[in-house]
Amino acid sequence: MIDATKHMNTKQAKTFKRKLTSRFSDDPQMHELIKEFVGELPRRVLAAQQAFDQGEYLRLQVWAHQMKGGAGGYGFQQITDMAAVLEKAISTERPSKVILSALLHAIDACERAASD
Amino acid sequence: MSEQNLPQILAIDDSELIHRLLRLRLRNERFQLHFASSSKEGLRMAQEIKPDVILLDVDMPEMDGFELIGHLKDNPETQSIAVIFVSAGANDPANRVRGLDLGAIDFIAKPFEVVELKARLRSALRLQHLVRILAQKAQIDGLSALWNRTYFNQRLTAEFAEATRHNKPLSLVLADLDGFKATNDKFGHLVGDLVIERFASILQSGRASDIACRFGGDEFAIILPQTTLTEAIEVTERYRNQLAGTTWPERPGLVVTASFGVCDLESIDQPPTQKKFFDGADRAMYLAKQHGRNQVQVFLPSALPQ
Repeated sequence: MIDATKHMNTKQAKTFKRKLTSRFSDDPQMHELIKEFVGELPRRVLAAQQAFDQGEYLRLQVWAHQMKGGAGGYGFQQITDMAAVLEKAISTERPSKVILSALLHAIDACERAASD
Repeated sequence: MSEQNLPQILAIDDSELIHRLLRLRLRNERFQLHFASSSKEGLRMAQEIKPDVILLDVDMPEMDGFELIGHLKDNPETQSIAVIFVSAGANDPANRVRGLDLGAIDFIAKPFEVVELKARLRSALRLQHLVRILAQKAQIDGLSALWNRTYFNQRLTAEFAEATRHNKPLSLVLADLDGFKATNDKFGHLVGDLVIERFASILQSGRASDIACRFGGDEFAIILPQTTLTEAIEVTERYRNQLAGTTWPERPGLVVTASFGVCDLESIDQPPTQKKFFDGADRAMYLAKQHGRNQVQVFLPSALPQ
């Protein structure tokens, strides 16, 4: 059971994850903006992963700060919340495993975000 | 309406995601939006653009919104800009109190509803408009609707500094109605008021760049930015002529004239000071009175015979 989860590729895993939709998804004016925001998320997630891998915590902190400030505006409060936890973990110099855990939660929220 | 006349809004937020959101959601509104991505850039742009309203993110690295508003309120050039805080911490009353105490006019919770944001922006702009009218009223003379002495002093200081700094021409005219007291005594104060109003409207009908002020009583001053002595004399002669040629249907036979003194920056002794400049115009006006009134006299440099 544990092994199965471990070996499941990301794409399959995603189908099991609960989708996150924007709280503004009913607003037709927001549709285009949300789509653009969600479309950019994979690139942003990659940038965060790279920053962590390279030990560039300052860059990761800026990333978290931007996501915290921005995602909520597009109706994804959960990304904002997770990014806030991540930003705090970095700014308070918590151990890297705590930062990683916070990052994975933030990435998880990003990957679940859907434009429709 | 040209873009320059539209209300100017400056959004200071370090998240480009928020910039994009605002740009698209506010594109149909009747204001012009500017964006700054950091506190420092925001402070610089606030001084440059002098926007009507600033949407200010609280949570920014280097300098947070609370510190930034302190800088805005400390600077006379930016202190009247309406500041609306936009913050994820808006639900915390302590934050809201701190923001309002620092001089913000409103606090919007992040993430914001765009409809609410628009409404709050409109409300801030309305308030800002009224505050400006009120501030202007305190600088306008009630009877003549010209600028009052308080405004004259401020404006002369500003124009003098500008002209001396950039070596631009500047002229000053002081005017005094001739025999105003006698007119008042003979025809009554209502006619006296009428004379003031009519002279004021002559001064106001001149060039748009001229700044006409009433000192009180029968004394007037006109600041003429970017104007050389020759041009200033020409303009002043026009005002003198218009007043002298005015007919008064209310009091046939009444003739009203004024004496004018003109001084320009070039004519005063080096180094130029505001006092020398003002005294120059005052002396020229006195000369006009001495030489028989209803005329324009010019201040001559001390090197030349007066």
